[in-house]
Amino acid sequence: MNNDLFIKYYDNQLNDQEKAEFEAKLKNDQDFKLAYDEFLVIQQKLKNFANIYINDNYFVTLPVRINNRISANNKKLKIVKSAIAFSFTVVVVFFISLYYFNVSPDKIITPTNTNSFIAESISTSQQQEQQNIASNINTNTNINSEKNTSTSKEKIVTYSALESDDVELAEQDVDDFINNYQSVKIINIGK
Amino acid sequence: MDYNLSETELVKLFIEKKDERAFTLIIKQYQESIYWHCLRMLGNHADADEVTQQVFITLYKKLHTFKFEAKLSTWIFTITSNLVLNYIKKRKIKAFFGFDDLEHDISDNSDIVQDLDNKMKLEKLKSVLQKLPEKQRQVFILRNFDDLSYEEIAQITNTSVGALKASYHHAQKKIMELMKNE
Repeated sequence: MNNDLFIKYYDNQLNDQEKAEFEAKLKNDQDFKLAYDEFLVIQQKLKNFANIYINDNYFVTLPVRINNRISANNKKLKIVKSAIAFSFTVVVVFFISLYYFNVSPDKIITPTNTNSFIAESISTSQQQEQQNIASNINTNTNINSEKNTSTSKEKIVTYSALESDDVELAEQDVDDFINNYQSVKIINIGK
Repeated sequence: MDYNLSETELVKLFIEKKDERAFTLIIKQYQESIYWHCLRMLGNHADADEVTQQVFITLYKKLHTFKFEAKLSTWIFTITSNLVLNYIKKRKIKAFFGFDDLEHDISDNSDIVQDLDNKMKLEKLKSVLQKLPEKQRQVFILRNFDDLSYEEIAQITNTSVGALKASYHHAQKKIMELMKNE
């Protein structure tokens, strides 16, 4: 019970009247004073425990170590910022190039469109091969025109051959062309 | 640079001109009170040193947000108290999962506290203060060792003065009991 009062007095929590009563009791009541002195001894003991001497050098070097850590943190932050800026630039360049080269997003292989992409790639490569053969015919025989008929599997190739050797060469190349179409009409329109 | 500048002038110098020397002077002004607060709260030098450094690193990053409405010391103690309580939480989690190195505090204290008398004092202080719950310990240390008013502690801990007085009273009673055995 006394301890509560001692704590409040020690911590300056008593009002003026309570404080005056406490101080009067300290003067008049010897046991009360002894108990309060004991309380003060314990408080002093605790303060004495907290009064520790540590290595002087610690507080001399502490600001230096803090500043070193701040500098190191700033460097790390710069690296992270640069990395983020670089990644962002790469992503932006990637999307700009997608737009510039007019590649639609469905051309990007993903697990869901892999099959359609492969099928489209094969058909594209077949068309490329057919174009190569046609250009071969061109170099040998001056093909005049190449028309798609109403059915996509039929092709009409017309050429003008000046010499008979050219006709043979053209026919060899056209053989390859035939392999890629179900029906090909070859017409020599002459000179 | 004028070394007799007030702390408000030092803060303005750092914020407006990024003067690192002004910040170093702020560190020098507060390092001891922050370190001792951390040491009393955490009980060992290694942890106190780590949190003290964290306080000033945080201060370096956040000083531009200081509004000059409160005292700088109150603001710094708010940062310190939050970091200390967070550190205690992390330490508890580490201890729970068995990651805490129980040996390190003894060896680190022996590095910084050189004579036997001081080592014993530190161990006794630790044995008494560490038995208090964190919030009570915080209030007790701020009031008893850092000599702050209840109004300042209320700002730091974001608690009412009445609750703080009750908390301090409970802490004192426990300390009295514990100190009788010392």
